[in-house]
Parts: sequence; structure tokens; C-alpha cells
Amino acid sequence: MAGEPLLSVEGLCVEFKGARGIARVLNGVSLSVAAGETLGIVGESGSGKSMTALAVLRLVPDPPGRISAGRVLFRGEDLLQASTPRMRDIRGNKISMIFQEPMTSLNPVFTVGAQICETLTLHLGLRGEAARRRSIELLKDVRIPAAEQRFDEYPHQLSGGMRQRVMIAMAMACEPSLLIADEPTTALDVTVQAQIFDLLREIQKARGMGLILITHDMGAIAEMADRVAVMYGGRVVEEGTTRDVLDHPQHPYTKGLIACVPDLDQEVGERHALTEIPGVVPSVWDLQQGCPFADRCDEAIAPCRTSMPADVVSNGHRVACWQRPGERA
Amino acid sequence: MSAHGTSPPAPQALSPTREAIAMFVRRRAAIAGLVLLALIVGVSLIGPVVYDADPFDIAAAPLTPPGTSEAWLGSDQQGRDVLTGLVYGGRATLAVGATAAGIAVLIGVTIGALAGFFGGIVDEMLMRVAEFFQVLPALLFAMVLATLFSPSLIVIALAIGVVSWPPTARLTRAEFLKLRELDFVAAERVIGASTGRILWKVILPNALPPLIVSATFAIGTAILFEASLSFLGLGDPNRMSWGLMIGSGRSYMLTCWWAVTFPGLMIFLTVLAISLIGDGLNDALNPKLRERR
Repeated sequence: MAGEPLLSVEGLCVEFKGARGIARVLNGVSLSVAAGETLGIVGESGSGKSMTALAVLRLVPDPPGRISAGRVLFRGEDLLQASTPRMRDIRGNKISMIFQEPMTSLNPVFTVGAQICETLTLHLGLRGEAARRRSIELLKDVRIPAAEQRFDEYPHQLSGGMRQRVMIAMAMACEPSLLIADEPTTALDVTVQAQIFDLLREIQKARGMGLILITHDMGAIAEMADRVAVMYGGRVVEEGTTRDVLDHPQHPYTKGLIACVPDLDQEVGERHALTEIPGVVPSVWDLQQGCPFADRCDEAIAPCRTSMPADVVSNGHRVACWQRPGERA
Repeated sequence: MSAHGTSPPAPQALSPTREAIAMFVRRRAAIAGLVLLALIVGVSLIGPVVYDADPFDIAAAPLTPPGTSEAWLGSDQQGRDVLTGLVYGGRATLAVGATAAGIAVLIGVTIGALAGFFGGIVDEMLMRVAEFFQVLPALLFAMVLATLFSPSLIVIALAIGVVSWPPTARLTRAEFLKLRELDFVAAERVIGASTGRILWKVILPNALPPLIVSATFAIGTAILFEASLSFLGLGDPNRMSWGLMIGSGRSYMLTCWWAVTFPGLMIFLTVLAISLIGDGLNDALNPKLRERR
């Protein structure tokens, strides 16, 4: 881990109230990111990745959702205690976020230029020609050709990759110290995906920005992340440096996820059926005591179904599994 | 697309507004409606200025049929010139129609937007209020309001506006419910925009197309409403309006058809013109409907 954490999330819990009672969507999530570092968060849909991101920005839909416990320390300041105006100042200014769907993340009735200018006006007070100049600079920074022209275009005139670049330009407008990218390339094809990753890496390097990359793509993690947190059922089940986690996965879920990545190197003739993790992510309403993964885990033992294992840490590699009792205190 | 590796020439940037205008202009019925409405509004606005007469004055012998030189379109049972009435009556009718529609849209959009955006208890309460107004017999309620206060044009416009906002509120609520879930609204929160900004500057512009259409039709409905109230004698008796002309001529309808037919025709043409415009706007502003044709 490099230096002081920029953002550290401690024991974050989010609950949703519904017809069937209260569901714990996040259950004691702890994470940290340092400046200049990339933290990857992986997990299947419904494991709580995006909810973690929303909770950090205090954007959990409330009601029905509620952040019920934990701390989100951004440079030592607990965001969960911050006032609403303070939060508005942080969003987009200190912490930015980009979304999965560039097709729908831009407002269709305004030009992309107007939308970038809006952020500049909101946080930096830039207006008119100054805002326009800065926006065009930002568009150039994200490698949009003919930026002056694109400034006056509407989102529907841009391709998916272009729109994601515009989203990144918007997110970068105030030079935030932390960027949360929620599946930024899922909706794009692979070549564009590589370009977007290159761009993110470049910007991160130039600005020493912390990056949280949320994805379900192990390949993207391997390529981008310094450290990785594996989430399942609203918990971080394993966390460590990318190399450690990918090379020596400890949690059965992590092993399963890695096994699911198709291997392009194998002979074309001998095709194997793709590996899969049996079953689906349990609904948040069905989470019982014990490890949320127990029902799908082929290594499950008796305690897995009765209580949640505590985190075991060795050399910065953290895992929560009853099968790893070795270093348990 | 260019095949030479250079960036493709950007397609001509057409704003959604200009695109809609281009679409609207191509619809002949809508243009006909626009021309018709412009004529009616023009005559109503300019007519009284250039044609100086009092619509309540006796201009000819009572019940003069149309076609005479002192009363081209005839006179009613009190000898008032029907043509003068038509020229002067448009102002009140159109003003009340537009104001009432404006009031209905203002109330409807505000209530619908708040209900759709905030949901939950806010939505429940506002929609119960809307239902209360919706289940009241609108004409009856407007009649009560108009009789309670002195029947001036403003009171009548208010009465019509207050009873006719629920459909606009429902439409707005539905649009906001749909739009608030979209990613660009979330993106707006992420950049730190305030709730007020998200409501009126982000979601509302996206909800405008159906609202413009509904506001157009609301004007037509409000004009009919005003005519009904005037017909029932609840309009402003000191201001000539088409509804008032029909109302006062109704007992002589069989002997003096012209006193009710011409103002009726004016109301019909006005509402028709507005409906044609509304239809055209609907086609122009709703791309999904456009594809179906």
C-alpha cells in the first residue's frame, strides 16, 4: 500500500426497507484507496459494488435505502457526517464518478459542451468564454478529435466510446482527487475499452488521482488495478494486491471468478466447457446467518452456515473464509 | 464516414428544438392550423383597434338576417351586430383560454414534478389532492367558483385553471417518475447539482415535449370551458365573448340561427386550429410516434 489512504471506508452498512422487511445490502464493507492508486472492486451483479460507490458519495436512494453504520473517511473527513452543502461541494469537485452506460449518462437535450460547462460553473464559477475554453481543453485531454466542433454537438451524435470520453472529461473538470469508475467499459467494445483504460491510466498518472474501478471483468482488474477487493453478498470477502489475489486466491469465490475467465491461449481444437460458479447471487432478502457464499461453495463446512468468518490478514492480503483458519488469531 | 482515417465530418448539429420545428413545418395540417389560429388571433387583437364600434350597441333592427348592409352577419334579438360581436368577443375568449391553460399547466407541472420526483409520502399526498379535483364535476365546480366571486375574466380563468390541472399533473408525474431513474440524473447528482437544479433544469427540459402538446390541447379545452360558462350566463356580462353571444342568443335559436351559429363556428374553428397544432407538435416532439407513421 502506498502512503496515507485518500479514502478509507470502514464497516459500511447499507440497509433497504422493503415489503419483506429490512435487507442489508452492504454489510460491514471496509476498503481504502491511496492517492495515485487503483483499487479494483470485482464481484457479480448484486454483490454490492455499485452500492458501495453510491454510499461513498452519499447517493444511496433514501428512502428506501439508508446508510446504517460505518465511516467514509475522505482525507480524514467523515463524509457520512458532512452537511448536504458540503457533500454537494465534494461531489464532482473532489470525488467524481463515471457510469456504466455512456448512452444514457448524458442529458439528451443539451450539447455536450453545455454539460461540461455546467460542472465548471457549479464548482469553479467559470462562465461564458472561459468555461467554453476550459471545456474544449478537457475534451482535448480525453483525446476527442475536433473538440471545438464536438463542443456544440448533442450526445446522440457521438458514438459510445466518444460519450464515455465526454463523461470522463466531465468527471475530470474539477481535477478531482478520487475518481470512481463504475463499469466504465462494460457497454463498449473491446478495442474502445482498451482506449478508455489507457486514457484513465494516463490521467491518473498525470494527476496522481486515486481510482476505484468497479467491474465484473477479471481481465480489466489484471490490467488496471494495483489492489483488488472481491465483493460478495454485500461484504468484501477478499482483498489484497492484484498479483497476490489473482495468483494466490484464498477465497473459494475468488477462485471461482478467476476460473470463469475464458482462456484464449488454449488450443482451438480442444474446447472445454467454460467454468461457472453454480447458482446465482442470493437475493438480499434471502441472506441468512453465516457466509453468503456458503450455498454455492464447494468447500463449505459446518461453521459456514452458522456464522460469518472474521477477516484474516497476512501480508496485506485479507480474506474472510472459514477454510482459511491458518493464521486466525 | 470517411475512409481515410481522418475524423469523419461531424453531422450537421441540429438541436432537438430545431429538429422538431423542421418536423412540424413538414406537417400540412399543423401549418393549416397555425395559419388559421394566427388569423383568428390577429383579427381578435387588431380588429377592435381598426374597427371602432361597441359590440353592445344597437346597430340594426333586432333579428335582422345576415346579408344586409347594416349587419353583414345579421343582428341578434337586441339588435346587436353579430360581426362586431365576433371581432370583439375573440379577445375575451382567447385571453381566458390562454390564461386558464397557463394556470392549469403551472399548477399541474409543479405538483406533478414534485410528486414524481420525490415519490413516497409527497407523491401520495399530492396525488390525493389531484384526485380530489379530478372527481369533482369540473364544470359544476367552476360554476361555483365563478358565482362565489364577481365574474371577471381573471376569476373565470382561475376557476377554469383550478379545475383542469390534474391531467397535466398526472402526465408530468409520469414523465418525472420515468426520467428521475435515468443515468444522466444520477450523473447530475454526482457532479453535485442541487435538487432544485435537477428538477427544473435537468428533468423538466426532457419532460417538455409531451407537456407542450398537453398545454396546447389545454388551451382548446379551456376555450370550450369558457364558452360553456358564458353560455350558462356565468361569464363576465360586461365583456363580449363568443360564449356570451351563444348564451344570449340561445332562446331565439330557431328564428335567429345566425346569432348562435357564427360565434359557435368561431369557437369550433379556434379549437380545431389548436388541435391541429397540438397534433403537429405531438408528431414533431414525439419521435416514437413519428416512426410509426
